[in-house]
Amino acid sequence: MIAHTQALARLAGTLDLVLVFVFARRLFRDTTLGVLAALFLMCDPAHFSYSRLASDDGVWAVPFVLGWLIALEAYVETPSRPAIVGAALALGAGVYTQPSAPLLMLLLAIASAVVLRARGILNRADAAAAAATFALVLMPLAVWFAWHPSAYVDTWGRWVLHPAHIRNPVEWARSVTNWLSLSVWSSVFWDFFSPSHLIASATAPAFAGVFLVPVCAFMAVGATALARQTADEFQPQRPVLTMLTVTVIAAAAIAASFKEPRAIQRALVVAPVGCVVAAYGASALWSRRRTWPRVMVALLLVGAIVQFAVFFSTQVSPTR
Amino acid sequence: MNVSTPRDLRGSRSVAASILCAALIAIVGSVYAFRLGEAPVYLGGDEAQFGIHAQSIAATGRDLNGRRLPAFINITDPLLPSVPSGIWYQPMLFYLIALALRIAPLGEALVRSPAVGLAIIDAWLTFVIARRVLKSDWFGVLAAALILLSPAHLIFGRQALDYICPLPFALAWLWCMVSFSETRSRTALLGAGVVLGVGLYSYIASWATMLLLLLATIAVVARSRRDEAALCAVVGAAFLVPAAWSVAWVASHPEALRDTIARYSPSGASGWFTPTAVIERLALYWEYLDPSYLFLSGGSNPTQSTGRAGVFLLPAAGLLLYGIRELWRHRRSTPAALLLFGFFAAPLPIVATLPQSAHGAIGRELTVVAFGALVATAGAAGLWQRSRNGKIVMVALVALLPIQFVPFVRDYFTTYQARSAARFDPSNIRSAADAAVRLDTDRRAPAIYLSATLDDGAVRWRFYTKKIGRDDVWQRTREVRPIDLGAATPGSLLIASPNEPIAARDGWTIARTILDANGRAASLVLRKAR
Repeated sequence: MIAHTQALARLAGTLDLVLVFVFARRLFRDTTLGVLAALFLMCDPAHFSYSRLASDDGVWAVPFVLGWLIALEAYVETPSRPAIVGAALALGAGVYTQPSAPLLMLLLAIASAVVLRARGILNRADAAAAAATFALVLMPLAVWFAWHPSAYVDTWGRWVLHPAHIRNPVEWARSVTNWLSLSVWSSVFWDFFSPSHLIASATAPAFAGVFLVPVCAFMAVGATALARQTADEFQPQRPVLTMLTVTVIAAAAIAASFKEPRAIQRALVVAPVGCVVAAYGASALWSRRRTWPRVMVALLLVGAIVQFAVFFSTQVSPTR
Repeated sequence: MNVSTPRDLRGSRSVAASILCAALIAIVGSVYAFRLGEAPVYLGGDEAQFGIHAQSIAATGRDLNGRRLPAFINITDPLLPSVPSGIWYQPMLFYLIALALRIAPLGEALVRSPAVGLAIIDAWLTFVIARRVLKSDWFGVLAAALILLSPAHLIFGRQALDYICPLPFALAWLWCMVSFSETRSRTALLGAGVVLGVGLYSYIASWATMLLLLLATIAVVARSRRDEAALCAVVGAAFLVPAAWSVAWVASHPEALRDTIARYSPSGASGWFTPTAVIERLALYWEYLDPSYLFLSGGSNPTQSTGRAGVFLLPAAGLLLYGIRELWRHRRSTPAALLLFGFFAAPLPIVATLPQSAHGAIGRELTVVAFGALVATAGAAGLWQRSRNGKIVMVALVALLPIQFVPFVRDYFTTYQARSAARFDPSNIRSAADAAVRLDTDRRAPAIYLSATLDDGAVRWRFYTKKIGRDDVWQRTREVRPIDLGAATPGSLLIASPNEPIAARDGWTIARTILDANGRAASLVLRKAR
């Protein structure tokens, strides 16, 4: 059983590489960037580890989020019913993947609607179609909970909304806004973005964090470059870039709601998003057409290969 | 700095604003001074150290270790003064308390009163800086309010600890630098250098903080690109003059430097620049920017935070964030750059040295409160100038400040005192001293033993025997381990923890059980019957 689940995890991990390639290529209109994003994701320590693990939370939601991003990008580029329905389908199906997914997918669905409506891209008919698709995909779950109500308490009751809080929303509001609870949640959320979690961990093999250190350098350049883009340069993709930011924040916030520090397995979607931004950063640095940025790109790529090689050797070592 | 100076709030000095600021300082200042001897409920061990050394300096000009007008005070067990501890404290608060002792006798409120004075000076300095930078008296008042209403500032403004001492120096330096950026006055630069030099003696972390601020001063001078060398020489000389005292003093007391370097050198095998050390430091720095710490919990130590309010009040979060944005937009202006630098550099001394209990130690980065209050004020000014909605948001956030401050203060003076009692003094030595002295008055004890297991027992005992003027009791005091109690003279008194297995043997009987603020047994006063 474990072997089967591990094989499925590897399949999902491999599928992520293909999907991140497609997404980055579509977003930046550049095949090289697609390849680079896929390579970065392939070498991503967190993604690599969870693509080999049979765990409840892990790589399972990532293909669905990437599928949603591809469909979203397609819809932003050319608004069409199939694209938005595809996006809703991906999010709806993603709900079934892992404990942290229901809240994440729900949040991403709401955020997509808000951002696309605010930009005047999503018309009412498409919004209704997307909502109907999302609801339709959740129907089997609703039916299943109706047949097995006792299962709710130990699943969605723990992950999303406890039955007691459905009966008494005031109590739910009180528990959510409780000072200590807010304090713990915000602390776990902030800690998720700690350099010792994302960039380098003192206790991990090869000091690997969620990302490789050189990829983080590319990410910093990429994030700065994307933030500085002139309005017209990325105008069509703006909503998608906004959704990338929302995805990272929502994933970390939902992972933090489980009160477990640094639970990357609950927010692994940040890995492909980071890799896409890093690919753009590498490209932005390379395109400066001066010697030192290109030397820097080369050195960082070599550094990434070396760090991943050391990390990889510890992961596949027979003594592990 | 021309940072978001709201046009509708500019103008001549408003008498009303000045009166309001004075009233604010008087009202909130009275909260700082309210029941100063009773809240914190007990005297902390370090507070007692400050008190007894200051008392000695006031009386004799020497600290308890016999050093005349020391530049650094060696913290030792007063019952074992010849055993060096390797811990040296900066002198400023000792001298301030010694000055206060010229006015009133030793007591908890007296030793804490200089901190209240410093807190009020902070508020006044924040007012004048914000007024000058933002060209508005009203934002000066807001800045003073923001620092006074900061929970961390209130907590440290009521303790006889030197954490609050660097703040007036950091603020006075900032005022000098703002003045220099506007006038290019050498006097202002001279003032900045002197202030930083004197500030070295305020708190141990000031050695890093003041040096960082000195570097910022040099960067500002260098950026001005006019007479850089001469101006750097001015500020360097001004800094070195006060610093020279410590150099001269350390030359004759090299152990002070040796011990301090050993104490604050990078802990463990991690060193400074190994990958592990760098990662650890980055993570620690990140922790100090944690919104939960800054706006919700305020740190991990119950003596430094109530746990129910952050370093800043929660509504200040919005102002602070917007202030960072505003200052970043104006980062080419010297005051804006210095405010951002001061705010983000505050945790650097802790991050660099990684001392014990390095996590969530707001006391060690208290300058963040001063710079944070000014950054938040810049945010308020930016919001005010932005739009009508900005004005509404700003007014709402400012109105929420007292709404959170009032319950915080109520908690501070009531339930927090019980929650934190065991951390300030787990043995309630004050009550134990009262009881023991009363028993001694009833029947003179040949010796008074203090169990060595009591937390800072000897320091607090010395403080209270001084406070009630019973030096004779102190002269008869011995520190003892429970195992050595067999040879004690009958009639002797012993102060011990309630969980020490003493009463059942060697003829010791419980004379008094000392309760803590929660009604639990904190310590025992025993008398030897035979």
